[in-house]
Amino acid sequence: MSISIASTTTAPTASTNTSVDTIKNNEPLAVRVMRLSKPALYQNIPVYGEDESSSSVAAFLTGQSHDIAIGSDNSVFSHLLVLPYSFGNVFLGEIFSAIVALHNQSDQILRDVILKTDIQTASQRITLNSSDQNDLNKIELAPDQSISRVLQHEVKELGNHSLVCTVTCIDQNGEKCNLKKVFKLPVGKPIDLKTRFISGATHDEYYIVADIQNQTPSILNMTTVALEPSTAYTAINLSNLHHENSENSLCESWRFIRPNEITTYMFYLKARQDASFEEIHSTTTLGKLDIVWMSGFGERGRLQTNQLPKPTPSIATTNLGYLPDLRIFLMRGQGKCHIEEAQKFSIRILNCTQRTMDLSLNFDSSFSKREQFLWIGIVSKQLGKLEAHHMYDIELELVPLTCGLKRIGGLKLTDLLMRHTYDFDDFHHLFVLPKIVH
Amino acid sequence: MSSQSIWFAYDPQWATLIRARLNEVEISDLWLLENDTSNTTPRLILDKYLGDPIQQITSKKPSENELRYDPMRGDHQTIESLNNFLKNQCWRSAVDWTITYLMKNPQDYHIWFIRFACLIKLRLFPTIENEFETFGNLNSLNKFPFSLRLLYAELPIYMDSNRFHDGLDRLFRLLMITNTILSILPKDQTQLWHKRRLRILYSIANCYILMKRFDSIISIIENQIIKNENIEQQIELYLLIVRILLQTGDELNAQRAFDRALNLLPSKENLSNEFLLTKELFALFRNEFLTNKLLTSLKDPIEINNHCVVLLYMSKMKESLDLYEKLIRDKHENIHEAIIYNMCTIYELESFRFTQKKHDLIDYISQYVGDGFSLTALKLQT
Repeated sequence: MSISIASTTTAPTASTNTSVDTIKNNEPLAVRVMRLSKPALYQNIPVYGEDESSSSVAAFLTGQSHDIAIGSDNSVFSHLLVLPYSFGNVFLGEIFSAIVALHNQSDQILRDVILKTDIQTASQRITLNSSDQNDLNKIELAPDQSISRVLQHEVKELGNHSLVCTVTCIDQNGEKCNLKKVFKLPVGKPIDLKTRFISGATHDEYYIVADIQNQTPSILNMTTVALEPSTAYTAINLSNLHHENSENSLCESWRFIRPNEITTYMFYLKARQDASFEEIHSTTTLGKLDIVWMSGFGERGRLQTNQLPKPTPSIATTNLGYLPDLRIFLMRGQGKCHIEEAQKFSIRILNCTQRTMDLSLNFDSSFSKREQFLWIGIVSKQLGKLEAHHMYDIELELVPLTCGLKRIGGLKLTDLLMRHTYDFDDFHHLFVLPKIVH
Repeated sequence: MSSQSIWFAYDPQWATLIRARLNEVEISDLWLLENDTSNTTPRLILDKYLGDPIQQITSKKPSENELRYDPMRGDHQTIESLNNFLKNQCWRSAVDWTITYLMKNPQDYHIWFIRFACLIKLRLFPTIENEFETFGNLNSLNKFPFSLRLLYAELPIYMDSNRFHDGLDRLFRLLMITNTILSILPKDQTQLWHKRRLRILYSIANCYILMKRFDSIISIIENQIIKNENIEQQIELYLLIVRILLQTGDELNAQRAFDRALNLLPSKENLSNEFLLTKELFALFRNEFLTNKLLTSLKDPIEINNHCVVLLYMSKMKESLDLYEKLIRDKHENIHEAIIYNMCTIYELESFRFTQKKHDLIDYISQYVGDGFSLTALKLQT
């Protein structure tokens, strides 16, 4: 985020009590922590003038040109880097980076100075080691001397986090001193993710729609939003289809989410061709989302969701597993027709259980009444025995009575052996057009 | 309608009105004037002196300081004196100077421009807006400088984020009138207005930058501005795009923009300062910190500042401060708000004595900076 120098409310430097230590306390060492989020570019106000108009305007422009931040590109953005102006929020999935400074504020030489830095979360304590080879341990600090260490921690959980700095040293009298400072780190959720599932036309197809809202104050460049499908499925990312791959354009603005904005991503999931029946039906999950983003000057973030569950079927099951006992698939049928035009459908019935069924077919009259169509032909009949994991096809016929988009369903299949009836909701949609009058 | 029409749109009826005045006024004074019989005289709202806040807090007494406006001194009432303040970035002194003058000559628009230009540098936006209102309808004013019209149009975009659209409205209106003027001028007399038109596009681009509308920024720079500029300027503009993209986390396209800038160079040897600075920004992005940079080779203050910032990220706090102290003592022109701000931030990190260090810093810089310097850079808690 780029800034002009505004007045600061929260200093980037944190200490335990007040926001700034102005009074030297009695401890020989002071510990200060400064958040090292990436810097920003200084912003200025370039003013346009025409020096021909008056000598004063020319003088003003001369004065302005001495401002090193003003370039010849007339832009508000300079080349000057400015350090972060506030501590800011720490977000899940990002890398928390900070610099710890130790200052010897006594008038003695302190020996064997050892600094330990840990992150304390609700569930664990993680030691942060310096990435610097010249570690700070066992150092001697002269009076008024300061040293520093840069820390990095990838934030992997929500909840309260604290940075705990423990320092030990030995003063000139040989006495050991011990100092512990705790800095609270506010951890927030960077994005709000809402997922919706839409079942596809056939049973093993799903559309996953993910809405991501940016809850940080920076712009996020979403470099990756991908669905890793579970083993029985393959995924296609539908989010990028409409973007013309323009070789010349330098801006892929669809990748950015500005603060508080929401972007929607869509994925299509289908069972793999070579996946077995058991594989497809025994997985209760569809996959997980992998989300990677970048913000100002290389701040990275990454989140992975838990496994997304398969939407539960609307059909009751008699077995304990996830599988529906019976599944129906539309094999042949129109998607649109004219009013009062008889429509034939071919339906495949699959017995997913381990037992043989003896099925008979009926229709739910309130369904067809509501949707305003009429089943014709034989509306109640025995279909015959159907063995475990086997399927057969049946022919159905209906007449739509009104126009519009209709849900087609309301089948009732009764297993005479178990004396159990399965109700099927809509398996198809039919768009009914008015008749053309010639 | 082509998508480009907003950039070139003009109004033929306005063209007729403006053409009628072609022989009466200078080309630079052409404008679409509305009739407005209300006779308002511009007047000052802020008639108190701004003074010099830094001098008020420093313990060093200023010597016979030529560069601070003294209303008691006769020789400070001259234009030469004003120009001296301006050349030395003493914006407050310049503003104070204009008070006396404008009370006597409220119709001198050039001095109003100076006043507002300095006020906008000092970020005293409400004053500018209130005083602009006393002018009445700007579109009815004869011989009103274009630069003042542009400043008025840009003002909302700096004021606050709710006013961006006001700024865009004003800027696009300015653009349309400028296009109209260009449509009626003879081909060999269009140079000034082309320059002005281009500057309006820059202002619109700045507004988009502040609004964070990246699709629009890059589109306007690439499609509207770049082709009207010479090669050096095109390079600057591609490097600007690089900075914008790095600031928003798009390294891939930033690299492509950088390559485009490189391709415009006649030779890739001896890259200019701006190129080197931009390369450093890529290194910052990728966390590739050069550990063996030769400090003696750094001369450019921006380069040194950015290097000091990087030193802090490498945990070299002391080296960073030492280099900063050297930077501001080597040349007084190096003292810049951003640099002072960074120094004060590191002071706060380093030790409890930062308040004293900041005051020492103020004492030092007060001798050299113009009174346009903003105190907020010092992060004083008062």
